[in-house]
Amino acid sequence: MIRSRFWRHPASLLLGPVVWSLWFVVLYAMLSLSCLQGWLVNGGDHPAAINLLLAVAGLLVTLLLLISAWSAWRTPSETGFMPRTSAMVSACSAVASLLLVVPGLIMAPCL
Amino acid sequence: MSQAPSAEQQARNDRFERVWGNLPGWGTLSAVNHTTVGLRFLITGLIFFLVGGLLAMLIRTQLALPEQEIIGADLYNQLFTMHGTVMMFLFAIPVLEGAAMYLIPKMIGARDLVFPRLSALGYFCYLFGGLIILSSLFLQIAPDSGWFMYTPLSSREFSPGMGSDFWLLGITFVEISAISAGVELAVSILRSRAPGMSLQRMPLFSWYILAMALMIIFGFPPLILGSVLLELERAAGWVFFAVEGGGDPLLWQHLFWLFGHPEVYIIFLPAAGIVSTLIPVFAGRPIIGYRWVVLAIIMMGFVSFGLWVHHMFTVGIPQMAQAFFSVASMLVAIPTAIQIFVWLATLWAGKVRFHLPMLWIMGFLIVFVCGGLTGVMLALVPFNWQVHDTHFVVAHMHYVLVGGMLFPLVAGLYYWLPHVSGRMPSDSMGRWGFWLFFIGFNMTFLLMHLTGLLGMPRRVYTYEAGLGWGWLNLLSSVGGFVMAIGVATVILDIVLHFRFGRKASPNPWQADTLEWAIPMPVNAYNFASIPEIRSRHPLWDQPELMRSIPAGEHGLSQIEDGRRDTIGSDAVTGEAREVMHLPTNSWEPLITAAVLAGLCLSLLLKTYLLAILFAVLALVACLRWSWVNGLHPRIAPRDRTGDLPLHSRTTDGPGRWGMIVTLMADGTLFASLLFGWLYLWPVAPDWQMPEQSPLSVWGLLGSGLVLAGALGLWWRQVQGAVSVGGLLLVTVVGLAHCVALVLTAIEAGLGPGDSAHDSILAVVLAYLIFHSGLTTLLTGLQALRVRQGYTSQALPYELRVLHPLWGYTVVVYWISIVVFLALPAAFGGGA
Repeated sequence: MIRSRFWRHPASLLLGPVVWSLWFVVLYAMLSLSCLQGWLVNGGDHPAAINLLLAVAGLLVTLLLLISAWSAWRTPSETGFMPRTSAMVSACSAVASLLLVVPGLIMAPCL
Repeated sequence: MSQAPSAEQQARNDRFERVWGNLPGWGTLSAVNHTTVGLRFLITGLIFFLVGGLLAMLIRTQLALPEQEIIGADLYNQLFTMHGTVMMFLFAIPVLEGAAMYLIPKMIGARDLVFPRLSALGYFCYLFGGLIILSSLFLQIAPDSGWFMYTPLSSREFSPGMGSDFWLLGITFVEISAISAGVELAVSILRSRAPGMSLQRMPLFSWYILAMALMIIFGFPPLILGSVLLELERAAGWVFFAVEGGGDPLLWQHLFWLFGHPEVYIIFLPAAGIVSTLIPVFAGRPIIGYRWVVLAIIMMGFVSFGLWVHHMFTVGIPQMAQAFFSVASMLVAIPTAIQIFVWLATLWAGKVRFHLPMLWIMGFLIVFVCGGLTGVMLALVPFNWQVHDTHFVVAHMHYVLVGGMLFPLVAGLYYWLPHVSGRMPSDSMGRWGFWLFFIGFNMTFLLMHLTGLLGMPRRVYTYEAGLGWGWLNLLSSVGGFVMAIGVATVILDIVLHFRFGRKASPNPWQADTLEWAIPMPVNAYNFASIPEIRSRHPLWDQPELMRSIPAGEHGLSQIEDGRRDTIGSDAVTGEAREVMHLPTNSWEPLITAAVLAGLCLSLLLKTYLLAILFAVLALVACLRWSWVNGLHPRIAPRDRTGDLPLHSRTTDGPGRWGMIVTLMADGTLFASLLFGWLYLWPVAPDWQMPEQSPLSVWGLLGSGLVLAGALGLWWRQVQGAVSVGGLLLVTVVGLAHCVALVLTAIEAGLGPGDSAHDSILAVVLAYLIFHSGLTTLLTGLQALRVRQGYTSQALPYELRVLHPLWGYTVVVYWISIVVFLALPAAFGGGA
């Protein structure tokens, strides 16, 4: 019931992008702090622990967004506009989050 | 053709015009209705555009040949700074806000925006701020550090004159206008649509403007904060961006581009909204992929906030972090491409009529796609390094901004011109204007890509002969003048059409949106009656609206008490919820803006006693404004209209929405301040975190507990037990909190001139004291209003408006305690 009401509310349109934005800020902050303080960087070599941490966290965020997209898609609604659009926005946010994992897989963290 | 109005209809129209029309003569300065204010924004913006264009012509004259000395280096620096500043802050954003203010109520079936006086205040702040900035040019003390005012170049040491101060104070003043437009447009779109216009039936233009308004709310506060901090550094010697003392010049770049990159999309989105409105009309069919466009708008709005560092690829950020921003910069091309393909598909599937507006749309498609492609090139870090600060970037920026904004804007001007004047523009002259502009533009900026790739840096006032750039620059300059002739032709066409244009027939382009159901030329009240909307394309699917709206066959067709009314609706379903009483002509916006201009000028002239006087006057003007509001009998003389209650008799009216949206902007400013602290702490090389905070822990905790107590007492009032005594008690407790906070600040003995640490704490304390003081003052005012009978247990509208401010004040206080006191105690003391 609560789930259905949420996905019919316009705020649900913003869920995916908000999660992506927060993840983006956290990603940048974690990497910057890690490089500044020398945490988890393995002397600057690739792969360092921070690479792995960011990749795993990125995959979890992607998974979370995909689940929310699936949940929205399955929500019954009179016109389907709000839940279906929210599902598409969340799915796009999932793809955007997944793409942010790629640099972490191939690059040394603090060069 | 429409029939002449009947006598009854004419009498109704006259009554409406008397209530909604502007006062004659000088009284027109008190106008608040959205049509007048929107047109004023548009005309003022176009005048600023001509000034900016003139500066561009001077720049191109200087660069036409090598080793010229027509304009010296100092004046050249002022010219390019002012060109960028005028075009971005005084033309692009205000003109699009003006277009949105003019069009939105007409498109969503409302009679006005929900806060008309706020629009008028925004206009006057824009006008006065723009004139203040422009005056610096005539005094030859204009800012000269580039339109993004990088520190330390713009700091007192390297820019000792008043130029930077003009920029910082003037732009902050102008931004009052942008924020007020953002609040106004967001709430109006969400809460004043015609009955039945649910979100999925909303015109795409409204989706674009909603996104733009929210982006302004979240995008502008970082720059406002940055400007305030830099002005404090310049005027009072506080430390934020100077390395000595613990600041960092890169903080300015972060704050600027946190605003600056979304701003590109704030400019692009309304223009894209024009494109999405015009293409279906001229293709004669609904847009293909409405939902995809909505998705693209939302994604673009968000992703554009994740690109700011791509303006800073050369400042020494780790490569992996650059890669994140590079990916985000490429990602934003996807929603853009979705829109391009939707437009192409709609054109492909429809039967396109190539009227004049379509010509400009075709120009947009070509130029903007080219600009988008060079944007993807610039998103690639190695390429970005190569062309950084060259003419390639200048060319890309103009392809995106002129292509993405000016072409659609002119298309929109031609499209909606009959709406304003009742006449059609000249097709042949308009085509001459287009081709001159299109050829001139490409000649100027396409070649500039090459000069950039050949290594010509931007912002140099001259260059040596024999570098291979000479002929390209000459052609660019010739192209610039061809473009200027194109602009002159378009302006001439528009001016002449008011006299010589043939009379427009009703709905001359056979459009689908509601604004064309308004008789032309435009009236002051939009709709003689407000219809129920049953389709996304009302004029295609409900063609009878063209007749029945002016005939008064729908809602609110009568004027009661001589008041301005429109319908308030549910944000999602569009169901009618209340009747909104809107304010009539008022001098308050002009007076308040004039006082704020006085404040701005006195700060500029460093006459601080005068500035305090103006600040007090501004507060008095705002309180006076707020007094005749809500349930004041001059504003709300009756309880209901027909079946619907007045908005001031509800608990969730537009005022509450306006407060929440304003607090979103306020919260972004606070978050930017947190960012500044959390950024400087680990990054600034000379940052010193003292072993022990200079702020008294017990003082802050005690003051915070008193604030929490005030909130508890306030909560009881809102829950129903509202009384004069109760509200006065809340005021007294709030005052006690303020006094305790002020004493704690004084006791701390901060030295903001010595360290960035103390400077930021001083700003945070000022922020908290301001909010606590304001909340307390407004609560005291509520006590007086309860005594007057404007607020009561049965009429809690105003308390509900103030309620979110109380919550916000308490939340930011405790977040500040955690971030500025607890975190350093736990992790940073002595670092």
